[in-house]
Amino acid sequence: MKRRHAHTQGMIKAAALIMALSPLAVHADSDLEKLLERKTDGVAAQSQNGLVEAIRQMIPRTSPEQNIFLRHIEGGEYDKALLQFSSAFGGTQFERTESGKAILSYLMFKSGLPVTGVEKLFSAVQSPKQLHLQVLSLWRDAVPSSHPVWNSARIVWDEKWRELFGSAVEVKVRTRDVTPSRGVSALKQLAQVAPAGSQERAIVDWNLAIALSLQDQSGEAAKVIAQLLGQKSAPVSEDLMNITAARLLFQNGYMDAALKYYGKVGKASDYWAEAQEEMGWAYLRKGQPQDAIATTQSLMVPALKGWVGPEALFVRSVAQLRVCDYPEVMKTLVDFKSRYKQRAIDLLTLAENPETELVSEVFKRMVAEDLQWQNLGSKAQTLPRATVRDLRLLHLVRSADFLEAESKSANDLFVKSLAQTGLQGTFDAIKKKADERSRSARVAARNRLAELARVEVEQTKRVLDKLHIVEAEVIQQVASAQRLSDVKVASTDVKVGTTGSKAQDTLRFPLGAEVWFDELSHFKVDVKKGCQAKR
Amino acid sequence: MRYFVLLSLLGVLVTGLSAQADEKASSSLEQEFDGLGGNQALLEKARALNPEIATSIVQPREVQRRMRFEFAPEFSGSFGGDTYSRAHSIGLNAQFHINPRWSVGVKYNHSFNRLTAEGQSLVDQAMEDYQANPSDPSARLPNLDYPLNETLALVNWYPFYGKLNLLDRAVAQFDVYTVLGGGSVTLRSGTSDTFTGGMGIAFWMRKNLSTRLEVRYQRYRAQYDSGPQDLDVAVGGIQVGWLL
Repeated sequence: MKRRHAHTQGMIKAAALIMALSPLAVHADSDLEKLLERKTDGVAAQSQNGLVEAIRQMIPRTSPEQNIFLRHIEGGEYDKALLQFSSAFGGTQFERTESGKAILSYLMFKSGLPVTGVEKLFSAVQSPKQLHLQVLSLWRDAVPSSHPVWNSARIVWDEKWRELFGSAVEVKVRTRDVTPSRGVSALKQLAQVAPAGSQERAIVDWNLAIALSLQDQSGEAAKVIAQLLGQKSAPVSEDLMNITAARLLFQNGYMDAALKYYGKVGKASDYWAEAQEEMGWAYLRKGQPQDAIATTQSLMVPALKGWVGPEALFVRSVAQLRVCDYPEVMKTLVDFKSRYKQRAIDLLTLAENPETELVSEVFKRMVAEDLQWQNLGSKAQTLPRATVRDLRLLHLVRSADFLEAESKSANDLFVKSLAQTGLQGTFDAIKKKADERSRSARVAARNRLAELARVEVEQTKRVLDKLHIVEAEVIQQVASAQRLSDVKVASTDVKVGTTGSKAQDTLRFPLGAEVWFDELSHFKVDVKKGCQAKR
Repeated sequence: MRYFVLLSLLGVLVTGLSAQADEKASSSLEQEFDGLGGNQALLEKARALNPEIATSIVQPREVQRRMRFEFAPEFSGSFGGDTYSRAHSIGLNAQFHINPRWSVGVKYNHSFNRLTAEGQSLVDQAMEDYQANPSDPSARLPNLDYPLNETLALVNWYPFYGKLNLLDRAVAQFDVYTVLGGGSVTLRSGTSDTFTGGMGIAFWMRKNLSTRLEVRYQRYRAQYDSGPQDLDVAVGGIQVGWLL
């Protein structure tokens, strides 16, 4: 009885082995397994099964190696399927088909090599129209226009891909390196392709507005910005759009309107300090130095050191010079020295060596969050002001992180390939390429930061030179102070400030040594005796 | 090997030169900064032409108070007045803000009275006496006349304002105000006219939220067995208001 039972078991095992090796058996087996385990088909399972179905349609009779490959796909083990791909399809006709190439790329994409996968797809597949419908659908679902891979993959867009990925991805890829330097006509052309109301269209429009303003077509630029300000999908922050609109108006001499737009930049914005500084210039142009002094008063708060640009102190000193407030001019000059001397030296050091712990920490935070200048705290003192709002730097930092993850995945795959199939040159090459790309993106990010540091040092030096001229002017004017005091002035020159709150009901407080943050941008300066000798 | 040594030497030389150039750039920058604004003698001379400059802070009021209503429930307590009783009240204030300086309003309070320790002692004595000699008790119960409710019309004037730093987390603006008003108070004995005057501090916490701390003097006429008597009462209260 025992022997008979063993014989039956042996028969079952043999039958099971034959069934396992049979192509038809795989299908039946998987269905049976599902039925037994009451597995429900989720979206992932659907796509896995869809891929298996597609391959079956393309290869009616599968070999045992191919069956193993299909089992990996069914199990969602894309990395194993990728490693199995060459054993299953190496040298076959299927490998050379467009769908075969697209499936291999898809496996790379799903195995933690999204950049390599997408790049492989774009370089290997010549005619996307020949792709199996199921493969097309898999790719379309896997890489929507919001996927970060479109920021990092080096691909050349061709119209043939539009049908597969749609115009949103096309614009995303084509606008990736969009800058105003591309020219008005090229940007207008791109704007026609981008779907109206989309984020991509907004990016193109934004760059178009900047390009137009650079070409002195302020009217056209203003129209585009006004349109963007009313849109939900803003390409950049509303504060940046407001400050840009203000700059356009300033550039064309509409000082009052410019001041209105500068005033719209909120205190919490990274652009607030710049807006205040430029407001100072607008007041100076309007012949209201007292208001320029009042506006820049907010920027003198020690806590804002490092966030405020050197130009702010220049405009303040010029305004003080206009009302002959020489002691305050001298104070501003000394203040400039104390604020920017060490900072300039630190930035110079950073420009020479951006490989610091602080930079690494900031880069990590840039990847993890939408970093704001105020969130950096005291660390911001030794970083360029443009660090958190430079889109290129942000792109490079995030790209480096994305590529680093890909590099790690490539390394894991390489190790697995050694264990599973012996040394595989392909994975070694992918690993090396991913390493190199990740490294170069990291270096590019650090170089960009160094460039920003250098630019800021140059800007500080330019302002320093201008302040030396201001000081010379003070010396000259003070030298004639005695002569001025002898001149009899008929009436007192009074300059009443127009800054501070314009609300119907206001509170007035004297300026004290203590700084209250709610008071910032609410200062008012009245000059009673400007440029008149004391009597 | 010779080439390697030469290349190494060249590398060291280039690095050295580059470091030297960095140092040079840094020290030249320092020198440029040092030359700025260091002239003290000039500063002394400059004071001769010092203009008169007044810098002030002009801020908007956090809470707009023009033609606006404020409703504030109140809890208050009285001090002084009747020796044998104390009143605690809950009430409702309705204010109409004409502008940030002036507001007019009405107040209604409902009072809850209790005996003071002295009053309670007299009651206890009278009870003991009554129990000891029920047919002819000699100790008398205290003569009480206490408020049951009151309605007042008020005028508020806000002459001073300021700001309060709330543990560096927020800033609350406030107004110090005076209050003057009159109305009627319903006592146990009947109704009496009353007038009141005092001062308070109103904190404007949010666009719609206020908190007031108020102290006022109040006078009304109470009726005792011995005859009518004017009572001087101090009332302290807290209000939490909602501005419409």
